[in-house]
Amino acid sequence: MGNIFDLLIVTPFTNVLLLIYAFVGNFGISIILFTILIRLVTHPIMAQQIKSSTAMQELMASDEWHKIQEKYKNDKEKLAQEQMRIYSEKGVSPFSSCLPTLIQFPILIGFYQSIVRAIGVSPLQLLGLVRSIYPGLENITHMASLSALIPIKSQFLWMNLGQPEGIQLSFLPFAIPVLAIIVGLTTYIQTKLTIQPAASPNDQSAQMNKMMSLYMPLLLFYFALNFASGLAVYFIASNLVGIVQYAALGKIDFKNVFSIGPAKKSDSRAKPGKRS
Amino acid sequence: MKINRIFLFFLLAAIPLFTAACGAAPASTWPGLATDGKLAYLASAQYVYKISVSDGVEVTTPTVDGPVPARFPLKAESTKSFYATPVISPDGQLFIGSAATSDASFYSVDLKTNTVKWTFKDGKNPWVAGAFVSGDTVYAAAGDGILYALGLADGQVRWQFKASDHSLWSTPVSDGKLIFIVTLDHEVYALDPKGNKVWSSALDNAIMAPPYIAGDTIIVGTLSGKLFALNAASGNQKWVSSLDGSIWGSPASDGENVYIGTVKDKAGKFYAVNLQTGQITWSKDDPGAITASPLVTPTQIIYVTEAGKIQSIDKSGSPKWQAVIENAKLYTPPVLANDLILVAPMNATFLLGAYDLNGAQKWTFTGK
Repeated sequence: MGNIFDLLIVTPFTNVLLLIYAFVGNFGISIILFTILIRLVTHPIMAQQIKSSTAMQELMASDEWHKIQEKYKNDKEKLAQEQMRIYSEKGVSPFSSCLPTLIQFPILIGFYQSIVRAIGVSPLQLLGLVRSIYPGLENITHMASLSALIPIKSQFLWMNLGQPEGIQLSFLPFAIPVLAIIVGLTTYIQTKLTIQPAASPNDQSAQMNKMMSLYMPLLLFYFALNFASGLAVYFIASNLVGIVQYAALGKIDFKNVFSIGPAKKSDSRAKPGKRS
Repeated sequence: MKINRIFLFFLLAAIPLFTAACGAAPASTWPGLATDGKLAYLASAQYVYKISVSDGVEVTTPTVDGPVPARFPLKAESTKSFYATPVISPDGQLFIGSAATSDASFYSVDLKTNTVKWTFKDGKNPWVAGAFVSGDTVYAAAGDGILYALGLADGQVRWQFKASDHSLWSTPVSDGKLIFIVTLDHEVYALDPKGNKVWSSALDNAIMAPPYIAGDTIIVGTLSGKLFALNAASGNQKWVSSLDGSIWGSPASDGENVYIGTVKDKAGKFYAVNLQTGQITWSKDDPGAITASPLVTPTQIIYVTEAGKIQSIDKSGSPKWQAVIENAKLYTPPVLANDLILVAPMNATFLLGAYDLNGAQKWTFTGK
């Protein structure tokens, strides 16, 4: 399974990343450009996810939905049957908002792994990288030959992309993890801006949104703090491009950034649920 | 309800996957192995072990609570990891740098007391390369691309030489007159004992291992598979030989031929190249990639492969014996300790194994 994933996702991604690097000569910019490329390629999937999610939210905010919840609150089996009937009538699939996420996961994880592989911070990792490079890559540009690619110039701005980042000031006994802080902040902003509002602040999806907006920034902050800063560059680029994508789809609510609780529906977006 | 559960499932599934993806980032590589004939020093993950060559038993230190393993550090620390080849000085110090990003320090350990004598913290990035000792100085190739000459007694910097913008992965070597250091960005440097550059030579590709010194010649291989012989005093090229595959280890010689293995994707090839002319004397294919330097003894040549095989051949390339370690990968160069061949496998049930000169396993050390 790991080999198939490597063959179909990680190795091709690594080669595309190296090819971009061969043209631009800067690994940090290569990560950013590849992030944009991945985001553009997966944009239709993300748009479909947002569409499905919105339809689901609207359905769950409808009177009909609330009525059956109340009517069959003591009969789970009947409630499930009624929910399926409404899904069928409205043409909404409860899985349609999950499937795009499912498709995106391998891409995201593969991208992570390709960055780690391309940086090659130890002999063993470099051996893996050399084996991953397609023989025909240098036919595209001589800068993609093994001699030109290895070693990857991992310096970007003030950071070594193969090492965790931190700015050491002479008067402080520890390094300030600037990149990790930016990762935490951009993840928080992206999560708050892009989480779809819940039908009710007390329902499970609202609680889930709240958890997401708290834990995701902390989780990615932890990753950025401890692992190669190349990953942190990816996180930041991905967050910023994600915000732009949501903005382009008209799905951003800037008021949510400053709200502590679950994402709220703004007036402009609060549409009545479809009624049968 | 269902949707939330599915979402939560994916979120929880993503965390270990992301962690697995990121987990490869900190430096980790094959173990480092050295011996003084009596003891073997094995740098593997969080410890540097001291193992008796005669029986494979870890050396212990007596304490009031009974004997404890005399490993460094005494207790594993998550901030430290060791993969470089350890070096032992005549005055009983062990030198090794930590490959961890959180504590990229270079340590001097007093082998009698098993305590840190001094620590050099200016190297900044993880240490992959070993060091060498000459006189009262230890020469250490650091992760920040600098070769440091440190006082043996105090760890103070005598001089430093910036060799590369990349990490130095190859241990410096010396012919007694000059110090040679190679870099991933294709350079070979020769320095005098005061750290002044005498010459440098740009080769065609990344250099992964230290040069072999054969009299007035240094021999070094590159990732393109080219084996270069350079005049040690001037850096002038004597010959170059093109081999099939990439060269990851240092060559070794019996005075007649230079022996080196290559990596051809998952397979390998082993070569004997004439020391004087660079002509290929013979070569043999091997199903396993060969990254490690071979071991040349008066009666046989031993090389190890990524497929977990220890192969002994004679000078004509004819097989003498072979031993296979189940599921193991062998990247670390084998070393000779008295009449035993020591190998440090990865992914095996043991960390260190000893084989006699006929290939029979004598003992294994598991680290437990």
